[in-house]
Amino acid sequence: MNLRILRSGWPLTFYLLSILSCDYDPSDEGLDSLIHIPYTPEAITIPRLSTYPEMDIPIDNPLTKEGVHLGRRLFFDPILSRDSSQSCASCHQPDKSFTDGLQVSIGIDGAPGRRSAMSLLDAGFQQRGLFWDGRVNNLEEQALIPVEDPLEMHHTWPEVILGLKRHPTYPIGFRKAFGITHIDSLTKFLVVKAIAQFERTLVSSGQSKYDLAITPGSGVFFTESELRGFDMYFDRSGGRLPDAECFHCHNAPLMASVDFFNNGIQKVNSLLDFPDKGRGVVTGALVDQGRFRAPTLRNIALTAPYMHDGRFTTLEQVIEHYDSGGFPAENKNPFIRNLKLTPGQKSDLLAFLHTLTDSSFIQDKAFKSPF
Amino acid sequence: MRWILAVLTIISLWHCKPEKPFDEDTGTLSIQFFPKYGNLTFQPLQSYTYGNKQSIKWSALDFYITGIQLLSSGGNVAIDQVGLVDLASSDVSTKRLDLINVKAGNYSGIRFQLGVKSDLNKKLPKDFKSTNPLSSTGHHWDAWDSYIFARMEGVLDTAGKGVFELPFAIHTGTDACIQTVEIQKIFDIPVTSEYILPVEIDLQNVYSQSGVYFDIANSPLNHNPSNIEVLKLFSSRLAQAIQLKK
Repeated sequence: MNLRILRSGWPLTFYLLSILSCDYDPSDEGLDSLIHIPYTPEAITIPRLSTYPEMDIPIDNPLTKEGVHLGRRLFFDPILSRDSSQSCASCHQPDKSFTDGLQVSIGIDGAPGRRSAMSLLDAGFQQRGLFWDGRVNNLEEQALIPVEDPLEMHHTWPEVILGLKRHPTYPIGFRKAFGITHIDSLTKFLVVKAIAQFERTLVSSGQSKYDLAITPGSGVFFTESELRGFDMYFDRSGGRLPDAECFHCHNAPLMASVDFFNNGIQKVNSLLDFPDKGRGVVTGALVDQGRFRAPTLRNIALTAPYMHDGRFTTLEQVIEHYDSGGFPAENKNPFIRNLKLTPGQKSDLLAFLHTLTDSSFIQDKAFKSPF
Repeated sequence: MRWILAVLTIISLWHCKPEKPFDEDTGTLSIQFFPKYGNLTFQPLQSYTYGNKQSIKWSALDFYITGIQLLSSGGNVAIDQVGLVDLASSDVSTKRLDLINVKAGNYSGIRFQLGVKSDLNKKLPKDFKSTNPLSSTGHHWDAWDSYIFARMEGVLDTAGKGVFELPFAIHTGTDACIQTVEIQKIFDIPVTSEYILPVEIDLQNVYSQSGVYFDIANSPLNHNPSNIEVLKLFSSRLAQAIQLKK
């Protein structure tokens, strides 16, 4: 009797337990099964700068060595675009602090996009939406969009997924990163999860001159000009120097903020006349028309041209704009005003902005193409 | 076989047991803010008469609430939650502060600090998770060693000709600007349900008292310690302007 249980009962038990298991998929037993490949993801943490907040990482997409590795490959692989001519890195190039140097990005069909590519430096810390208008909530949602945008990669997700399933190594990468047991479990949601994992590793090195100069004991000091610029940027001079009002929108440590602003670059007769309504498209609110995210100023010297439409080619032009106070509008940030800076003070501000260059970040091999 | 099936059944039932959604003796207090300007409902970028001939529009209007206490004869209940109320946002959720999982029962009112109370004001945005309103770097001024407690920004039509040409801003902050607001109201927070406490803010009373309007044209930007008396004045008026909605 006991022998009969061993013979017939245990196989049944295992079978029932398999059915109860959420991972069971009868097709696992087919030719495209990945179950023979080991799934042993290794959790990783991003080194945290002492001045930085804790990064908010989604519970359903923790960082793993395998996920970041896969995400990096996908980020630099043109397989995501319809004609395999563009990857994420086409518009987000490491040596330009993950921008592309163009006024607006150009898609695979040669058509110009709507806006300038944003830097991905410290993108993992962005809250209250990504893109210039904050229309998506997180990096995973963001990565879904360019693939099907006709002005960008102009592909379709089903075709992308088909290509990845047929690829000799990607299915293995997804197995190692996410534990899928069959290639049919490879979805666009896993693709963007992997890319988002890689993007969350794109964190400042903490080795910019600014970071070192504000760190006691680093032995690095601002020049007199940089220090004056620093004081004006953060209004720290106690009235000795003009307040350049920069920090209101580009505050430390990220040199950015979670809010959206009309910074007065566009002349309009009414708030409904903005050629690009920015945040206003997302919310529909009058007060948000022509408002855009204040991007990070870290590595700003490497990310020309500037503004959401890339209208300024140099930092000098940017400083001139803010010194002028820009065009009036009822929702323009009140701190965008005629600053009356002297030429010397503008030079000081420029000198300070150059201290935000993080050469270690752009030279980091972990952020370069793996191909 | 039977014991195997029995074990599997128990495992299945245990696995399917739903999580308890709320503690049984808690509910939600939702503080809803209703901004107004005199008798008019407040809307961002809507024009309001300012004094005799001027007109005003606001484009930003937000403030922190900390140190919340529910008043009760049996002992006040401290709420460890921070609110950033944004009255100019198109997102209606920013005009309410939901205090969830608070002890259900009868209360006689609420008390809170308008601004960031001293112990929290010593910290920095990096010290808070992104879900905490105090993580907002746009609301912190390092040079001040303080959060910006309240931001009021907009434009003024100084000549009364329909041209809103003068931008203005008041940003309050530092411990000197902290204010206590107390609202007396007997209410019950029901178990596993919510009570909505309606609170109104009259902006006209923030910018004017006894018919005398603050001279924005003469002092449009007030946001650093050199203007501390102005900032204290507005902090005090903002606190007084917050009342139970009639």
